[in-house]
Amino acid sequence: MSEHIHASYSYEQSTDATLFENGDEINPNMSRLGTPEEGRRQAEEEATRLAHEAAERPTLEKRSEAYRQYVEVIGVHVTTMRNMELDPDSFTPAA
Amino acid sequence: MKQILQKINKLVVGDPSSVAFKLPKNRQLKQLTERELLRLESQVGSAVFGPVPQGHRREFFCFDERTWIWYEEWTDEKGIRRETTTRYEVHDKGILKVQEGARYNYIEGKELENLMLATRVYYEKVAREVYSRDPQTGKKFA
Repeated sequence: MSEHIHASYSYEQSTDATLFENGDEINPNMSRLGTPEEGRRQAEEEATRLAHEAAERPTLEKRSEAYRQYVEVIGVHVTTMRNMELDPDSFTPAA
Repeated sequence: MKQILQKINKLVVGDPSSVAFKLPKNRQLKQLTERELLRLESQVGSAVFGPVPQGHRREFFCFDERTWIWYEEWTDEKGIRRETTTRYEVHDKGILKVQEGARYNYIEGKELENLMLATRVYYEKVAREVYSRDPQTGKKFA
C-alpha cells in the first residue's frame, strides 16, 4: 500500500514539474485532463467500443427473439401438460 | 452458453439442503381442478429462484400460454406487509413486464435471460414433480 501511494505521489510530482518547466500557463486541473495522446487513446477506445456494440446489436436482437420464442414454447408445453390432466377422456378412476 | 447451462443445471438440481417439493402419496392428480393444478405448479415455481426467504411468500406460475405470474409478499423493516405482482406477457414484439404502479416495459438483457431460465426450470420441475412426466419426451413415468 505504501509503495502504491509513493508511486502515485512521484508521478504527480514529475507531471507537475514537466508542466512548470515548459512554462505553460497552469490550469489547476491540467494534470487531471490528460495528454493529447491519452485523449486520442480514449477516443479510439470509445470508437472501438461503439463499433463492437454496433456489430453485436443484431446478435442481441436475435438472442432476445430466441428467448421470447423459448418462453412462449415453454408456456405452450406447460398448458398442454396441464390440459392433458384435465381432459376427461384421460380420466382414470382411483383403484 | 456454458455459463447458462451450468446455471440451468444448478437451478434444476437445486440446493440439496433446500426442502424438496413433494406431493402427497395418496393424491389423485386427475381429480384436481385447473385451479388446484395451478396451485401445485406454483408451489414448485416458488422454489425456482432458490429458497424463499423467511417471512416471504412467493408464487411463480404459468397462468396461460402467454402469461407468467410472479407474486411476492413480505413484511418490511417497519412491520408493514408488502406485496408485488409482476405479470410477464409474451407478445410478438417481446415480453412485456407489467407491474402495478410501474411503467410497462419490454424486458431485455439479463432480465429476459433470467425469465427464460426460470421458465425452463419451471417446466422441468413441474413436468417431473406435478405431472410425473419426462420433460424431454412428455411421456408419463411408469
